[in-house]
Amino acid sequence: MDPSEAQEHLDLVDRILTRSDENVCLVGDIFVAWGIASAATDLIFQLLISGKIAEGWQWVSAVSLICAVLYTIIRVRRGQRSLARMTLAARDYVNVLWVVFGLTAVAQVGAYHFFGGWTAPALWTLAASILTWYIALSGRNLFALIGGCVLVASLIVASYVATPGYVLAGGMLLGYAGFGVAAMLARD
Amino acid sequence: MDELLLSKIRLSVVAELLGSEWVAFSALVRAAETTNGNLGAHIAKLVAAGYVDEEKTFVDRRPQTRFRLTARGRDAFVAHVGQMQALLKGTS
Repeated sequence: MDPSEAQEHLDLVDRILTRSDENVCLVGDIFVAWGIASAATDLIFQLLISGKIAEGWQWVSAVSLICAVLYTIIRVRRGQRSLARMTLAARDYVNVLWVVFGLTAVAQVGAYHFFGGWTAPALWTLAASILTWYIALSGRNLFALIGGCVLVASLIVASYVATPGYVLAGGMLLGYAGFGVAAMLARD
Repeated sequence: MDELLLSKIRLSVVAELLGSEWVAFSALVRAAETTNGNLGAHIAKLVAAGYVDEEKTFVDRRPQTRFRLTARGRDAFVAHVGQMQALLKGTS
């Protein structure tokens, strides 16, 4: 092999590795679904506590979360069918996603006495911010960074205001669902 | 240098697999910009050498062939790239 050919081969390898390094699997619409469902839950919780709606409205919160779960299952199954490649970055991302939300669910259900009241929605905002920060840092994703900042800011502000539900709902809507919309637009 | 990786197509297949858990044959055809038959022949050599593992599966009742890089393939790729870099350093 002559040096020019070696250089050509190295350039080819460099191009492929750079491209696959950027290939972080993101399904924006799932972020939108969960951002809206979480925001609806926070909002209804706040309205209930403020006495602005009747207790019967809790069903809306339950239905929105069930819709998000069902949508995620359908979307993941469809995605698996069309998936032609699983990058190492995508595998790590899926692992982090399961660890973050799995542990959050276990903490909330298993340690309910620690994470009752406003701590529960705050815990989910924290989990969402960890995931968006992970995407921002591992995938060098500016929209995820902005989303992560919005979520952390909403968490901090919510702890100082009298109506934290509105702030947490706004955070999930802008930071999480907003990031999902940005990811969808970027993919198109 | 590694004789198997002197082919541009085989080198690009190994590089594609390096950053992935697995890649379907159809995705490799697109990435390597070649025909099914040509790529199939090149991958068969990589599989025979133990550089690449082949996995046949069904997705939505359709057969899908996936490939993943073995530890041997990874080592061979790293050594080959190192030798190419050394060649360039030696001439500069």
